[in-house]
Amino acid sequence: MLTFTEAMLLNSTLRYFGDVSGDLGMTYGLTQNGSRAVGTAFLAADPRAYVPEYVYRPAGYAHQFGWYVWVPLSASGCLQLPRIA
Amino acid sequence: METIYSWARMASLIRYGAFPQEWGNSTPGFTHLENSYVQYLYNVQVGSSNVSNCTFDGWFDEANPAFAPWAANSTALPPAVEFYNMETLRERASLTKLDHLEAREGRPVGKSRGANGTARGPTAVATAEAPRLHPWRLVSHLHPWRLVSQRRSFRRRLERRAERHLRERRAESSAEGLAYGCNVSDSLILYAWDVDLLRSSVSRSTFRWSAEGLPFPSSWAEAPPVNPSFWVDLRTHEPSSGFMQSLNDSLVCLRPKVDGADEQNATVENGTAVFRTSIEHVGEPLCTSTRALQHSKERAQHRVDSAV
Repeated sequence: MLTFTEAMLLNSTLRYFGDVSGDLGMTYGLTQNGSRAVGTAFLAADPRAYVPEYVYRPAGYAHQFGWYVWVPLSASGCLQLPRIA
Repeated sequence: METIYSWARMASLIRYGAFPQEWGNSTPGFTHLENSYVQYLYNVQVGSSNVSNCTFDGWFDEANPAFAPWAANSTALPPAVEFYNMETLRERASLTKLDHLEAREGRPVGKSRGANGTARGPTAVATAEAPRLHPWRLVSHLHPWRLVSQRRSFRRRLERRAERHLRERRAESSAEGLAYGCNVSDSLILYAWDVDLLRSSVSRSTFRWSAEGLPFPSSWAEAPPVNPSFWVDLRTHEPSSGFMQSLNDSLVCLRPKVDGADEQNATVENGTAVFRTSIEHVGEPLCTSTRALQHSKERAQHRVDSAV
Protein backbone atom coordinates (compact mmCIF):
# COMPACT_ATOMS: atom_id res chain seq x y z
CA MET A 1 0.00 0.00 0.00
CA LEU A 2 1.26 3.45 -0.91
CA THR A 3 0.34 6.01 1.71
CA PHE A 4 1.12 9.68 1.35
CA THR A 5 0.56 12.07 4.21
CA GLU A 6 0.79 15.80 3.63
CA ALA A 7 2.90 14.89 0.64
CA MET A 8 3.65 16.72 -2.58
CA LEU A 9 4.12 14.52 -5.63
CA LEU A 10 5.41 16.47 -8.58
CA ASN A 11 6.02 15.12 -12.07
CA SER A 12 6.42 11.60 -10.80
CA THR A 13 5.56 8.13 -12.01
CA LEU A 14 4.55 5.51 -9.51
CA ARG A 15 3.93 1.87 -10.24
CA TYR A 16 1.86 0.10 -7.67
CA PHE A 17 -0.31 -2.83 -6.93
CA GLY A 18 -2.85 -2.81 -4.14
CA ASP A 19 -3.98 0.40 -2.51
CA VAL A 20 -3.02 4.04 -2.73
CA SER A 21 -3.95 6.58 -0.09
CA GLY A 22 -3.37 10.31 -0.16
CA ASP A 23 -4.02 11.83 3.21
CA LEU A 24 -3.75 14.88 5.38
CA GLY A 25 -1.52 15.04 8.37
CA MET A 26 -2.57 14.11 11.83
CA THR A 27 -0.34 16.52 13.70
CA TYR A 28 -2.27 19.10 15.62
CA GLY A 29 -0.90 22.59 15.71
CA LEU A 30 0.19 22.42 12.09
CA THR A 31 -1.60 23.12 8.86
CA GLN A 32 -3.55 20.35 7.25
CA ASN A 33 -3.72 20.76 3.51
CA GLY A 34 -3.79 17.18 2.41
CA SER A 35 -1.56 15.48 -0.09
CA ARG A 36 -1.11 16.77 -3.60
CA ALA A 37 -0.19 15.14 -6.87
CA VAL A 38 0.66 17.32 -9.85
CA GLY A 39 1.77 15.93 -13.17
CA THR A 40 1.93 12.49 -11.66
CA ALA A 41 0.99 9.12 -13.08
CA PHE A 42 -0.15 6.22 -10.94
CA LEU A 43 0.29 3.10 -13.01
CA ALA A 44 -0.83 -0.36 -12.06
CA ALA A 45 1.83 -3.04 -12.07
CA ASP A 46 1.43 -6.79 -12.29
CA PRO A 47 3.02 -8.17 -9.13
CA ARG A 48 3.58 -11.54 -10.78
CA ALA A 49 6.16 -9.89 -12.97
CA TYR A 50 8.23 -9.23 -9.86
CA VAL A 51 7.16 -11.99 -7.47
CA PRO A 52 6.25 -15.12 -9.42
CA GLU A 53 4.68 -16.83 -6.42
CA TYR A 54 2.63 -13.79 -5.52
CA VAL A 55 -0.80 -14.72 -4.19
CA TYR A 56 -3.64 -12.32 -4.70
CA ARG A 57 -5.98 -11.34 -1.99
CA PRO A 58 -9.19 -13.28 -2.53
CA ALA A 59 -11.53 -10.35 -3.04
CA GLY A 60 -11.08 -7.94 -5.87
CA TYR A 61 -12.77 -5.11 -4.07
CA ALA A 62 -9.84 -4.75 -1.73
CA HIS A 63 -7.90 -2.62 -4.19
CA GLN A 64 -8.55 1.03 -3.76
CA PHE A 65 -7.23 4.40 -4.80
CA GLY A 66 -8.25 6.91 -2.16
CA TRP A 67 -7.48 10.60 -1.86
CA TYR A 68 -8.80 12.24 1.26
CA VAL A 69 -8.57 15.90 2.06
CA TRP A 70 -9.82 17.86 4.95
CA VAL A 71 -11.23 21.13 3.71
CA PRO A 72 -9.92 24.45 4.91
CA LEU A 73 -11.80 26.29 7.58
CA SER A 74 -9.76 29.45 7.88
CA ALA A 75 -9.34 32.27 5.42
CA SER A 76 -5.73 31.31 4.95
CA GLY A 77 -6.86 28.12 3.37
CA CYS A 78 -5.58 25.83 6.05
CA LEU A 79 -7.21 24.02 8.87
CA GLN A 80 -5.19 24.84 11.93
CA LEU A 81 -5.84 22.73 14.93
CA PRO A 82 -4.74 24.22 18.23
CA ARG A 83 -2.87 22.26 20.81
CA ILE A 84 -4.78 20.59 23.55
CA ALA A 85 -3.85 21.83 26.96
CA MET B 1 -6.30 46.41 -7.61
CA GLU B 2 -9.66 44.99 -6.87
CA THR B 3 -10.38 44.77 -10.57
CA ILE B 4 -7.18 42.86 -11.15
CA TYR B 5 -8.10 40.48 -8.37
CA SER B 6 -11.54 39.98 -9.85
CA TRP B 7 -10.14 39.20 -13.27
CA ALA B 8 -7.59 36.85 -11.78
CA ARG B 9 -10.30 35.09 -9.90
CA MET B 10 -12.50 34.91 -12.99
CA ALA B 11 -9.62 33.42 -14.95
CA SER B 12 -9.05 30.86 -12.26
CA LEU B 13 -12.72 29.98 -12.25
CA ILE B 14 -12.61 29.36 -15.97
CA ARG B 15 -9.60 27.14 -15.55
CA TYR B 16 -10.47 25.30 -12.39
CA GLY B 17 -14.20 25.60 -11.92
CA ALA B 18 -16.06 26.87 -8.90
CA PHE B 19 -13.91 27.51 -5.88
CA PRO B 20 -14.71 28.44 -2.35
CA GLN B 21 -13.68 31.98 -1.67
CA GLU B 22 -11.94 30.82 1.46
CA TRP B 23 -9.32 29.22 -0.75
CA GLY B 24 -8.40 32.65 -2.08
CA ASN B 25 -7.35 33.31 -5.63
CA SER B 26 -4.34 31.09 -5.52
CA THR B 27 -6.35 28.25 -6.91
CA PRO B 28 -3.49 26.12 -8.20
CA GLY B 29 -2.13 26.09 -4.69
CA PHE B 30 -5.06 24.06 -3.58
CA THR B 31 -5.44 21.64 -6.39
CA HIS B 32 -4.91 18.28 -4.80
CA LEU B 33 -4.85 16.22 -7.97
CA GLU B 34 -3.83 18.10 -11.09
CA ASN B 35 -2.59 17.06 -14.52
CA SER B 36 -2.33 13.54 -13.22
CA TYR B 37 -3.20 10.11 -14.50
CA VAL B 38 -4.61 7.51 -12.16
CA GLN B 39 -4.79 3.93 -13.28
CA TYR B 40 -6.89 2.25 -10.65
CA LEU B 41 -7.39 -1.39 -9.85
CA TYR B 42 -10.93 -1.46 -8.56
CA ASN B 43 -12.29 1.41 -6.49
CA VAL B 44 -11.63 5.13 -6.47
CA GLN B 45 -12.68 7.21 -3.49
CA VAL B 46 -11.93 10.91 -3.48
CA GLY B 47 -13.10 12.94 -0.51
CA SER B 48 -13.25 16.75 -0.43
CA SER B 49 -10.44 17.09 -2.93
CA ASN B 50 -9.86 19.60 -5.68
CA VAL B 51 -9.29 17.67 -8.88
CA SER B 52 -8.40 19.34 -12.15
CA ASN B 53 -7.33 18.07 -15.52
CA CYS B 54 -6.95 14.46 -14.42
CA THR B 55 -7.75 11.11 -15.93
CA PHE B 56 -9.01 8.13 -13.96
CA ASP B 57 -8.67 4.96 -15.94
CA GLY B 58 -9.28 1.43 -14.78
CA TRP B 59 -6.65 -1.22 -15.30
CA PHE B 60 -8.88 -3.38 -17.43
CA ASP B 61 -6.51 -6.21 -18.03
CA GLU B 62 -6.55 -9.94 -17.42
CA ALA B 63 -3.62 -9.44 -15.12
CA ASN B 64 -5.86 -7.48 -12.80
CA PRO B 65 -7.30 -10.08 -10.45
CA ALA B 66 -10.22 -7.87 -9.68
CA PHE B 67 -11.56 -8.35 -13.16
CA ALA B 68 -10.15 -11.71 -14.06
CA PRO B 69 -12.89 -14.31 -14.58
CA TRP B 70 -11.17 -16.75 -12.29
CA ALA B 71 -11.09 -14.21 -9.49
CA ALA B 72 -14.49 -12.60 -9.86
CA ASN B 73 -16.03 -12.60 -6.43
CA SER B 74 -19.69 -13.40 -6.51
CA THR B 75 -20.36 -11.42 -3.35
CA ALA B 76 -18.29 -8.38 -4.15
CA LEU B 77 -19.81 -5.02 -4.74
CA PRO B 78 -19.07 -3.71 -8.18
CA PRO B 79 -16.19 -1.33 -8.58
CA ALA B 80 -17.05 2.31 -8.08
CA VAL B 81 -15.68 5.76 -8.56
CA GLU B 82 -16.83 8.06 -5.79
CA PHE B 83 -16.44 11.79 -5.31
CA TYR B 84 -17.93 13.00 -2.06
CA ASN B 85 -17.86 15.44 0.81
CA MET B 86 -15.95 13.94 3.67
CA GLU B 87 -17.29 16.07 6.45
CA THR B 88 -21.01 16.15 5.97
CA LEU B 89 -21.89 13.35 3.70
CA ARG B 90 -21.12 10.12 5.33
CA GLU B 91 -23.97 9.63 7.73
CA ARG B 92 -26.77 10.94 5.57
CA ALA B 93 -25.40 9.35 2.46
CA SER B 94 -25.27 5.97 4.08
CA LEU B 95 -28.87 6.28 5.07
CA THR B 96 -29.88 7.46 1.63
CA LYS B 97 -28.09 4.55 0.11
CA LEU B 98 -29.85 2.28 2.54
CA ASP B 99 -33.15 3.84 1.60
CA HIS B 100 -32.53 2.98 -2.01
CA LEU B 101 -31.47 -0.52 -1.26
CA GLU B 102 -34.26 -1.22 1.17
CA ALA B 103 -36.84 0.11 -1.24
CA ARG B 104 -35.51 -2.23 -3.86
CA GLU B 105 -35.23 -5.16 -1.51
CA GLY B 106 -38.53 -4.56 0.21
CA ARG B 107 -36.94 -5.28 3.54
CA PRO B 108 -34.32 -3.83 5.84
CA VAL B 109 -31.08 -4.53 4.07
CA GLY B 110 -28.74 -4.14 6.98
CA LYS B 111 -30.49 -6.65 9.22
CA SER B 112 -29.84 -9.79 7.31
CA ARG B 113 -27.55 -9.23 4.43
CA GLY B 114 -23.85 -8.91 4.64
CA ALA B 115 -21.65 -9.19 1.63
CA ASN B 116 -19.80 -12.04 3.29
CA GLY B 117 -22.92 -13.62 4.68
CA THR B 118 -22.56 -12.29 8.17
CA ALA B 119 -25.43 -10.58 9.84
CA ARG B 120 -25.14 -6.87 10.39
CA GLY B 121 -27.67 -4.64 12.02
CA PRO B 122 -28.73 -1.26 10.73
CA THR B 123 -27.02 0.37 13.67
CA ALA B 124 -23.74 -1.15 12.66
CA VAL B 125 -24.22 0.10 9.15
CA ALA B 126 -25.10 3.60 10.28
CA THR B 127 -22.22 3.64 12.68
CA ALA B 128 -19.82 2.73 9.97
CA GLU B 129 -20.82 5.92 8.19
CA ALA B 130 -20.20 4.94 4.62
CA PRO B 131 -22.42 5.11 1.58
CA ARG B 132 -21.68 1.59 0.49
CA LEU B 133 -22.34 -1.64 2.20
CA HIS B 134 -19.38 -3.88 1.84
CA PRO B 135 -17.47 -4.45 5.08
CA TRP B 136 -14.10 -3.73 3.50
CA ARG B 137 -15.36 -0.56 2.03
CA LEU B 138 -17.00 0.40 5.26
CA VAL B 139 -13.57 0.35 6.75
CA SER B 140 -11.54 1.60 3.87
CA HIS B 141 -13.93 4.42 3.16
CA LEU B 142 -13.37 5.89 6.55
CA HIS B 143 -10.88 8.59 7.04
CA PRO B 144 -8.12 7.56 9.43
CA TRP B 145 -9.48 10.01 11.96
CA ARG B 146 -12.60 7.97 12.09
CA LEU B 147 -11.16 4.50 12.08
CA VAL B 148 -11.32 3.93 15.79
CA SER B 149 -13.51 5.40 18.44
CA GLN B 150 -10.49 6.67 20.30
CA ARG B 151 -9.55 8.83 17.39
CA ARG B 152 -13.11 9.99 17.08
CA SER B 153 -13.00 11.10 20.65
CA PHE B 154 -9.67 12.77 20.10
CA ARG B 155 -11.00 14.54 17.06
CA ARG B 156 -14.06 15.77 18.94
CA ARG B 157 -11.79 17.24 21.57
CA LEU B 158 -9.81 18.98 18.88
CA GLU B 159 -12.92 20.34 17.28
CA ARG B 160 -14.31 21.65 20.54
CA ARG B 161 -10.99 23.25 21.23
CA ALA B 162 -10.81 24.70 17.75
CA GLU B 163 -14.33 26.01 18.06
CA ARG B 164 -13.35 28.08 21.05
CA HIS B 165 -9.99 29.07 19.66
CA LEU B 166 -11.19 30.19 16.27
CA ARG B 167 -14.39 31.85 17.35
CA GLU B 168 -13.23 35.34 16.57
CA ARG B 169 -11.81 34.38 13.23
CA ARG B 170 -14.94 32.51 12.33
CA ALA B 171 -17.06 35.46 13.28
CA GLU B 172 -15.29 37.43 10.59
CA SER B 173 -15.36 34.70 8.05
CA SER B 174 -18.12 33.73 5.69
CA ALA B 175 -16.98 30.17 5.94
CA GLU B 176 -18.60 29.52 9.25
CA GLY B 177 -20.15 26.12 9.30
CA LEU B 178 -19.55 25.49 5.64
CA ALA B 179 -18.41 22.20 4.25
CA TYR B 180 -16.73 21.39 0.97
CA GLY B 181 -17.07 18.46 -1.30
CA CYS B 182 -14.92 17.57 -4.24
CA ASN B 183 -14.39 20.05 -7.02
CA VAL B 184 -13.75 18.14 -10.22
CA SER B 185 -13.01 19.98 -13.45
CA ASP B 186 -11.67 19.21 -16.91
CA SER B 187 -11.24 15.55 -16.10
CA LEU B 188 -11.94 12.24 -17.72
CA ILE B 189 -13.34 9.43 -15.63
CA LEU B 190 -13.42 6.02 -17.27
CA TYR B 191 -15.40 3.83 -14.93
CA ALA B 192 -16.11 0.15 -14.72
CA TRP B 193 -19.54 -0.08 -13.11
CA ASP B 194 -20.70 2.48 -10.54
CA VAL B 195 -20.24 6.21 -10.06
CA ASP B 196 -21.26 8.26 -7.02
CA LEU B 197 -21.17 12.05 -7.18
CA LEU B 198 -22.18 13.23 -3.75
CA ARG B 199 -22.25 16.83 -2.56
CA SER B 200 -19.53 17.88 -4.93
CA SER B 201 -19.08 20.02 -8.01
CA VAL B 202 -18.23 18.76 -11.47
CA SER B 203 -17.37 20.93 -14.46
CA ARG B 204 -16.28 20.22 -18.00
CA SER B 205 -15.67 16.55 -17.36
CA THR B 206 -16.52 13.30 -19.05
CA PHE B 207 -17.71 10.12 -17.40
CA ARG B 208 -17.64 7.09 -19.59
CA TRP B 209 -18.34 3.44 -18.93
CA SER B 210 -15.28 1.72 -20.31
CA ALA B 211 -15.53 -1.89 -19.32
CA GLU B 212 -16.63 -3.31 -22.63
CA GLY B 213 -16.08 -7.04 -22.62
CA LEU B 214 -15.35 -7.11 -18.94
CA PRO B 215 -16.60 -10.33 -17.35
CA PHE B 216 -18.62 -9.58 -14.26
CA PRO B 217 -20.29 -11.70 -11.59
CA SER B 218 -24.05 -11.86 -11.57
CA SER B 219 -24.14 -10.10 -8.21
CA TRP B 220 -23.23 -6.86 -9.92
CA ALA B 221 -26.49 -6.95 -11.82
CA GLU B 222 -28.72 -8.01 -8.96
CA ALA B 223 -30.36 -6.07 -6.19
CA PRO B 224 -28.63 -4.88 -4.21
CA PRO B 225 -26.69 -3.21 -5.60
CA VAL B 226 -28.03 -2.19 -8.97
CA ASN B 227 -29.16 1.39 -8.70
CA PRO B 228 -28.34 4.03 -8.03
CA SER B 229 -25.51 2.90 -10.22
CA PHE B 230 -24.76 6.37 -11.49
CA TRP B 231 -25.75 8.33 -8.44
CA VAL B 232 -25.77 12.13 -8.55
CA ASP B 233 -26.77 13.68 -5.24
CA LEU B 234 -25.24 17.15 -5.20
CA ARG B 235 -27.83 19.13 -3.19
CA THR B 236 -26.97 22.24 -5.13
CA HIS B 237 -28.71 24.75 -2.92
CA GLU B 238 -27.72 23.29 0.40
CA PRO B 239 -26.92 26.25 2.69
CA SER B 240 -24.00 24.53 4.34
CA SER B 241 -22.09 23.90 1.13
CA GLY B 242 -18.96 25.95 0.70
CA PHE B 243 -19.46 26.35 -3.02
CA MET B 244 -22.16 25.64 -5.53
CA GLN B 245 -22.49 21.93 -6.03
CA SER B 246 -23.68 21.22 -9.53
CA LEU B 247 -22.89 19.24 -12.64
CA ASN B 248 -21.87 21.57 -15.46
CA ASP B 249 -20.80 21.32 -19.08
CA SER B 250 -20.10 17.63 -18.85
CA LEU B 251 -20.81 14.45 -20.72
CA VAL B 252 -21.99 11.22 -19.16
CA CYS B 253 -21.84 8.02 -21.18
CA LEU B 254 -23.63 5.34 -19.21
CA ARG B 255 -23.34 1.60 -19.50
CA PRO B 256 -25.72 0.28 -22.15
CA LYS B 257 -27.58 -2.97 -21.83
CA VAL B 258 -25.10 -5.80 -21.87
CA ASP B 259 -25.46 -9.54 -21.54
CA GLY B 260 -26.58 -10.20 -18.03
CA ALA B 261 -27.30 -6.62 -16.99
CA ASP B 262 -29.83 -3.97 -17.88
CA GLU B 263 -28.69 -0.58 -18.99
CA GLN B 264 -27.43 1.77 -16.37
CA ASN B 265 -29.59 4.69 -15.34
CA ALA B 266 -28.58 7.98 -13.83
CA THR B 267 -30.19 8.80 -10.52
CA VAL B 268 -30.22 12.57 -10.10
CA GLU B 269 -31.91 13.65 -6.91
CA ASN B 270 -32.20 15.95 -3.91
CA GLY B 271 -32.19 19.25 -5.74
CA THR B 272 -29.23 18.52 -7.94
CA ALA B 273 -28.74 21.17 -10.63
CA VAL B 274 -27.42 19.97 -13.96
CA PHE B 275 -26.35 22.56 -16.51
CA ARG B 276 -25.38 21.99 -20.14
CA THR B 277 -24.70 18.33 -19.50
CA SER B 278 -25.63 15.43 -21.73
CA ILE B 279 -26.42 12.03 -20.30
CA GLU B 280 -26.48 9.23 -22.83
CA HIS B 281 -25.45 5.63 -23.13
CA VAL B 282 -22.30 4.36 -24.74
CA GLY B 283 -23.08 3.83 -28.39
CA GLU B 284 -25.37 6.80 -28.70
CA PRO B 285 -24.31 9.74 -30.85
CA LEU B 286 -22.63 12.04 -28.38
CA CYS B 287 -20.78 9.16 -26.78
CA THR B 288 -19.37 7.80 -29.99
CA SER B 289 -18.29 10.92 -31.77
CA THR B 290 -17.11 13.21 -29.08
CA ARG B 291 -14.01 15.10 -29.94
CA ALA B 292 -13.53 16.11 -26.36
CA LEU B 293 -13.53 12.50 -25.24
CA GLN B 294 -11.10 11.55 -27.93
CA HIS B 295 -8.90 14.45 -27.00
CA SER B 296 -8.97 13.42 -23.38
CA LYS B 297 -8.07 9.86 -24.23
CA GLU B 298 -5.18 10.99 -26.35
CA ARG B 299 -4.04 13.24 -23.56
CA ALA B 300 -4.20 10.35 -21.09
CA GLN B 301 -2.32 8.09 -23.45
CA HIS B 302 0.30 10.75 -23.89
CA ARG B 303 0.74 10.91 -20.15
CA VAL B 304 1.16 7.15 -19.93
CA ASP B 305 3.64 7.14 -22.78
CA SER B 306 5.55 9.94 -21.15
CA ALA B 307 5.59 8.08 -17.88
CA VAL B 308 6.86 4.92 -19.47
